[in-house]
Amino acid sequence: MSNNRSVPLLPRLASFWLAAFVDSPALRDAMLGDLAEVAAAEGRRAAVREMATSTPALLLARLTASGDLALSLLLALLVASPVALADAAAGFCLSAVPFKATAVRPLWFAFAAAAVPALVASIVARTRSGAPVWWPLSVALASAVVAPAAWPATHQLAVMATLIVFSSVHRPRRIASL
Amino acid sequence: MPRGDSLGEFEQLVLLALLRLGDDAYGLGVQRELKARAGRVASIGAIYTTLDRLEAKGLVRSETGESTAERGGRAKRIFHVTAAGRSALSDSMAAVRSMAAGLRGLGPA
Repeated sequence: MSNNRSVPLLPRLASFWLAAFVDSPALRDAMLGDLAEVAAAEGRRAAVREMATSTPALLLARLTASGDLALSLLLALLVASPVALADAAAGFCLSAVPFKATAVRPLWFAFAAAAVPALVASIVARTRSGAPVWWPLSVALASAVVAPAAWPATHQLAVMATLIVFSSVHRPRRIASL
Repeated sequence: MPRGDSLGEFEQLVLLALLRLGDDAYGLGVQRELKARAGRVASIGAIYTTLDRLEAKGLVRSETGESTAERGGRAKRIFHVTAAGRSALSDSMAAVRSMAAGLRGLGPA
């Protein structure tokens, strides 16, 4: 019982989190109990970490159950590959950059500011995994050049999907564990 | 077992953990057993997702267990392997053994 004081805070956060993914009240209750047990034994931080690492599996199960196979596949590829995750983050931020004229200004600055570290993270992840480094750079360039003025959300999704599918070919792992 | 219903490696491990834990087989217990015996680190979400899928296939069944103060008064969900689950596990492991047989360092000669 290393962290009893923090335990009362956890159920509210965990309940909110689980409500998004699990329909069965019995299963939710069981998982909340397990998280409380983790918090009591190892502390609140361990329980929160458990929630974070559980999210991809629960989200994937939720999407699969909903029958949205395209989205499920994209998420599975994202989860399977750190490279894909870094690419998607970079792609998402970079694809927002061309919309300076139409976007809400603070939002645009936030995306533009996040694009550089996201791109660096993508390149580092690709270098570590042996995947081609030129891909995120070329897509970023293409994104900036050919981006349509309208439909920014559609464009961003298209860029993300392209990045995810292409980059995930390199490391399709961990899906079996989900 | 019908074709297409074969068990994945993670499902095999979860079923084996349930059998090992017996009457105290619940999500967190399975997680600890997998880590201790197989060195496999899996999230509670991944384990419950798998248990839910196995239950939907009829390979495990669940019941409400005891609640403790340590769990904030919430009951455990205890899982048991069904006869169909044992059969599926046995078939699946036999298939792996058969494939490994004769391969140096992997199975019986």
